Amino acid sequence: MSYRADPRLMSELKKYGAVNVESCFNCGNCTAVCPLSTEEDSFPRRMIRYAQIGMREKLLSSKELWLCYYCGECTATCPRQADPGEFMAAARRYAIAQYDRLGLARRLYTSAGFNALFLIVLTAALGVFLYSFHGPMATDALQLFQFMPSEVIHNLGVIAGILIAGTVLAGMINMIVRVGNEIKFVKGAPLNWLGAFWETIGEVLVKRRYRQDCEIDAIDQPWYYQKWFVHASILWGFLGLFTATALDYLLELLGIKPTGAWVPPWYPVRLLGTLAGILLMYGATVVIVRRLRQADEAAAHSTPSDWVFLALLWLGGMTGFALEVSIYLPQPGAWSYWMLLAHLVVVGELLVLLPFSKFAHAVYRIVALYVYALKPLPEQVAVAGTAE
Amino acid sequence: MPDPTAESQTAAAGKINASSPAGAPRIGVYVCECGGNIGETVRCEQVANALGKLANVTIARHYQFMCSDPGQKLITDDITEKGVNRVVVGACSLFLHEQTFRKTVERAGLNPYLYYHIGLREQDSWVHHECPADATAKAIRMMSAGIAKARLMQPLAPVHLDADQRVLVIGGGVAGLRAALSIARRGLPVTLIEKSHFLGGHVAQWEHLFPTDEDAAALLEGLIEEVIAESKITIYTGAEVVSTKGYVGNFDIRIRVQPRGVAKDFAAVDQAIAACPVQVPDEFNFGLTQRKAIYQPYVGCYPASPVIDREHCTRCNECLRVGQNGGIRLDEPPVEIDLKVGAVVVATGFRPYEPFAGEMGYGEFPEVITLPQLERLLATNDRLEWNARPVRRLAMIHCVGSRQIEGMHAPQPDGKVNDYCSRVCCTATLSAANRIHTRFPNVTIYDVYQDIRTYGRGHEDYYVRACKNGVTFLRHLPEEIPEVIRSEKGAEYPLLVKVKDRLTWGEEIELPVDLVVLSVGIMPSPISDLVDMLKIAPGNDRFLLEVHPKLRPVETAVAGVVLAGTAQGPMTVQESCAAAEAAATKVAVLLSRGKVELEPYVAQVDPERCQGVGECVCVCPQEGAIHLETRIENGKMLRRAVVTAANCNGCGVCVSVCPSRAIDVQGWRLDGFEAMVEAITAETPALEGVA
Repeated sequence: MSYRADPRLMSELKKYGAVNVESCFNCGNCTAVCPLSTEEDSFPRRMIRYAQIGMREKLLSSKELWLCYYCGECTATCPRQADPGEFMAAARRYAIAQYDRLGLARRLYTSAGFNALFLIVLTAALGVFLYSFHGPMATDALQLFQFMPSEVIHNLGVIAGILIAGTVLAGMINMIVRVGNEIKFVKGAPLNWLGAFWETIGEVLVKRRYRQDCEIDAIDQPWYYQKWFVHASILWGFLGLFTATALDYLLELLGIKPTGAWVPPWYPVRLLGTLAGILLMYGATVVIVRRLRQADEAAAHSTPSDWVFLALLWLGGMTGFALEVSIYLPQPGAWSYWMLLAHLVVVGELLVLLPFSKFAHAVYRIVALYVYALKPLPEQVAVAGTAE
Repeated sequence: MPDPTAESQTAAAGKINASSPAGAPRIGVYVCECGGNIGETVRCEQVANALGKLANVTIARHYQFMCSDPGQKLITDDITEKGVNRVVVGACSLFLHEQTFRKTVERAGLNPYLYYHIGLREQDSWVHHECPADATAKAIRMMSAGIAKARLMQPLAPVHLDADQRVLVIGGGVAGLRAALSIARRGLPVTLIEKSHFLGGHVAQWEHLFPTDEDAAALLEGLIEEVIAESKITIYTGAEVVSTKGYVGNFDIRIRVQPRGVAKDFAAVDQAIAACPVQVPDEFNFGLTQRKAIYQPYVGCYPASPVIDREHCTRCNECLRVGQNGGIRLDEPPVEIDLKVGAVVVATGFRPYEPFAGEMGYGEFPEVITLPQLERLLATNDRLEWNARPVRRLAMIHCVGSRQIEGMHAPQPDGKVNDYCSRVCCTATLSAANRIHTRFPNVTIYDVYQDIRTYGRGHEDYYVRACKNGVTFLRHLPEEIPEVIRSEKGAEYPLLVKVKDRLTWGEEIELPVDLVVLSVGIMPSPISDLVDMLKIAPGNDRFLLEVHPKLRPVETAVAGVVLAGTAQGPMTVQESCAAAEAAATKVAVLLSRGKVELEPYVAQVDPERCQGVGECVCVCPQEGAIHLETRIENGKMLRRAVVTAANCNGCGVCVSVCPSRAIDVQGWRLDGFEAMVEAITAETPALEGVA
């Protein structure tokens, strides 16, 4: 098996941010200092070599891209300032763009102009579409769902969700087929299908390796400022809000409480939503501040697409809180209704961008972690017949 | 010239105290431990103790470093205080420190030839380091032999000869030019000869010189201008050595100068060149272009007047029909000139390795060229095109014709492969890659190498720049030689380079390219005739050999013949110039006094014993070293052999054939050898309790 060199891959990757990587002279320091790289799952040098030679398929079928948490240790110690950490990030952006067959991610990543245009059109479309269903703005008491019928929100959400889930699934399959080609277990050997699943869920939720392996140098920082926690707070916040929304709908289905009914702040579902919102806002704010300050290697480079994702995340949380405040205000203002519209538009945009932006790592990293955890089961040792 | 024979036989000449020391030999014996080099194997104290008991040994010592100042002081103190009058040192190779200790004993007032050196390190401790007891016994035997010889040593004086001060520099490349200039500026007259018809050598063919990115043409032009302006330098182009005779200080060298065939003031140059119907590959452009049989290699060459290429001229007389009559003469014969020179600088330079037909596709596919060809391609074109097609991707392959492996690479006609590193090609390749990137930024460059050896100051910058410029490096093992093959039909790129790339963990990578550039190595110019005439020796790699790479780095084994530049081995322009300066210094030191000094180890005839048979004259391999003279003594006609010390190299063949044992080599007399053999084979009491 031989590979044919293709210089075009490198020029493509440069558009996704791998600007300095041609300075790499393959010393392997990056791989040596990487706390996560192992002999079997070796990176970043191996990934960089794929890029230098132009081994496109090898790069796109590398789960290793998604094992990296971008601690930045490789970039800090690279003797050639080739910025391996940022290369990994760029390669992930490239992979997101390649797994997406619609080509939307590629255009969002490689053109700031298109990014802006796309956002403007999407905002206008969502805004106009939702506004077309609007009802009266009650002034005596806050009647949010009179203004915007919950069925409209619900149905739009369900339809958009299905479409986006389909797109995400297509990208996932695209990745799984490629990554699967690289798995070299003995045919027919029993694998830890279930064990790998739990291991993946564990890593996603509590980020053991992110926490223990990637932040050796961050030990002097308070836990709430360590990167794994900031990332986890966004993730937990997001999952909490999703759960709260789902539960709210469940309560209506069960006939316990109609959606939109007034509840006190300590009502469990509302409390969950509030706490999750705080986590999300905290995480998103810290990440944005870090990127603005370019606080470390990982925060030093941001593409327009990254900014859009973070901005939407923050705006989503912000508008949500504004709505919550308005619910408990004695006198409702017209702004509350507009805030609802804004919140719906922002959340809608977030959802739409899921398969085409940084957000997609949520899916691809899970696939990679699962494949990483997948191992042949230890062979059953025959105990019988070990007579003394 | 005074008779050197007389001088060598009257040993009292010169400042050296050559009078026989009074009384019996009093020998000082010194065993050097050479750090641990000798001391860890040979028990030096035991050796010294054993030798101290031998007859005539006044003092026997052992010491950590005899060559150090305190070590040398042991010797001088023993000479002045204990009356030691013969010194034997057992230490490293005599190549390293014989001169050191000669100076030491001379400082203490002793004749320097009353010192004898034993190579305990190379001949004993290093080769027997596993058996210290035997090594110690051997050391005692070796040194007792030296002591046996020392008992019979007589004071000697070096041979002094008048010397011609003119220096012949062979080769008009950058090394020859620089050497000539440097020698002339030290006041010595220089004759500079160049085989081709133009000065400048290979440097004229390069565009840029690393590590300074200098304009090669400008550098050369400046150097040539200085050489021409120097009145002490006589230049002959189209000239080569025909015969040589003589020895240091007194070489008789005949050169043959080929006529240019074109008068200096010939004005119709362009018309004459246009008229010539002959087309031959232009060696200046490494065969990329054609030239006529009347030609100038490049604009601004020196001498500027064109030349007739006699090998390819068909005598069609077309050129004679243009311009002035008599401006061109096709029938001019070569001229032979006899030169008397005191020293010779060999600056004959190199030639690029010529790949074999089919080696990495060379000669097989037109898209495979060498790095020198690429240099000319870049120098003569505004666009990077090959075969009228733009070059979009190119691969450069290192170490073609260098670091070859026996059995894997085709050998040269002499049966040997080029196993050496050519040193300059790595940086030269990277320099070319960077220039291509600067001029044609869209060209993709692959660099296929075994090791990048950018060893010199500033060379590594070229590698770093190449990385930054996006050159993709692929590294193969020496035994996994890359292959160049034709691409499948209809492919976008005509060639495929297949590399087992160690940077991609040994995967085979195929590089589709428009052009393959072979970074060919350096081989010495074909100068076997000159080597034979000067009796200098090439090394295993065919480059000319120096006496010692560190201690005598530009001198050859033939006194008065020194090396400059790439005749000695692969060098950059910078190193060639440094070597040329070293050669110039050596020559200036040798000739500036108008006299040269030779070792006294020459044949000596005892006129009492000589019968005048002449066997010695018949067997002598050195021309003019020994001859028969007839003289009248007491009314009788006597024929006696007479030695010309300057021509004798002390080989001793005459000694072996003399029927009356009338000849001996000074310093290496037969009685000395006999005593040494006896000492080595004797049942020496000194060995008791050792072996």
